[in-house]
Amino acid sequence: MWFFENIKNKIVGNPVTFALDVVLTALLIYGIIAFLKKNNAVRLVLYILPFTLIGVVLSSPKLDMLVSGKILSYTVVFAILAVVLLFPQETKRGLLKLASPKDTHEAYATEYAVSDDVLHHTISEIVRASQNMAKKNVGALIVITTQEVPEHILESGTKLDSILSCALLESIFNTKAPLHDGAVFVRGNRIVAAGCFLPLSQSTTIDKELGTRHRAAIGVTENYNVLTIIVSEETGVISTAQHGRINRYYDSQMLTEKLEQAYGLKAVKGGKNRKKEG
Amino acid sequence: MADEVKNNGAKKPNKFKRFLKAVFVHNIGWKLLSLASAFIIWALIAGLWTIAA
Repeated sequence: MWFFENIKNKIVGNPVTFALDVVLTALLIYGIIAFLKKNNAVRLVLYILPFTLIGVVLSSPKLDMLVSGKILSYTVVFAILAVVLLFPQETKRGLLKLASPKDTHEAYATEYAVSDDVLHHTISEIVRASQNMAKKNVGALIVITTQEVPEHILESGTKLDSILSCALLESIFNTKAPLHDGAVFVRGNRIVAAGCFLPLSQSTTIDKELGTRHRAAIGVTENYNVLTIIVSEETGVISTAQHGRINRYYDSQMLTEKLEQAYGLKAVKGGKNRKKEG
Repeated sequence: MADEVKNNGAKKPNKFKRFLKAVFVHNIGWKLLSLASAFIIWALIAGLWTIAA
């Protein structure tokens, strides 16, 4: 039969191209499945795959089906538009991820206007403040950033541009202070802004016992390449979030190490061991 | 909760083992489905779209 003969000729004629073509197509399909799975929409595969198969058959020149063939050949454009419209947040996050450089490289290439000693002092102040607030069950949300902070987030709070100290951090998060209900943005040894509102994570996998503060801390790390430190108001537990993942129960040593990595003062495990400039 | 504490200090398996596991174990069902679908699509295109000379 001509159908199987065509397939056989193609495989025998150029087996390498055949293998490469199938593997690349499989990777593309798996990428789409992984994306849908991540966004709890894996059921769409049940519709997309049969639709694609029917499309391939109907738009083939052998069948010469003019209208349905043409419509289906434009389906790819509609599918891309549908993804952008159905998953606007995920599309935005994907584009932001592409636009922002890798964290390790960026941390080591970041130049702060101050020396390493000052940065070490800043880290110890952040750790001390976190520990003090944890002991008193005072909630806190600190965002450590190596890049420029998005302006719309800064504008949601109050710009400070002051030198970071333990006392200042504790004062900001004092429950009677007007700026306590928001995030503090730290860059280098300076507090850039306080009382900032962060985008909340929409993830369904976050532990139900974690509140809005933790959700905001995860949300900002999903969208931007930052490290967040969270002190729970209920339990006094110190956690950190990075790349949309939260790690809990930090002690002062673990937090110091994490901050040293974020500041590029210490190599990240599995990362490039490059000396920080500046 | 206990798992999270454990994760912080847990030793990670070596990189090559993790790579092999990521390629051949994680989501293997979906990977096989992708490969099968890719083959079917390729076969349909090769069979139906090739115009005999």
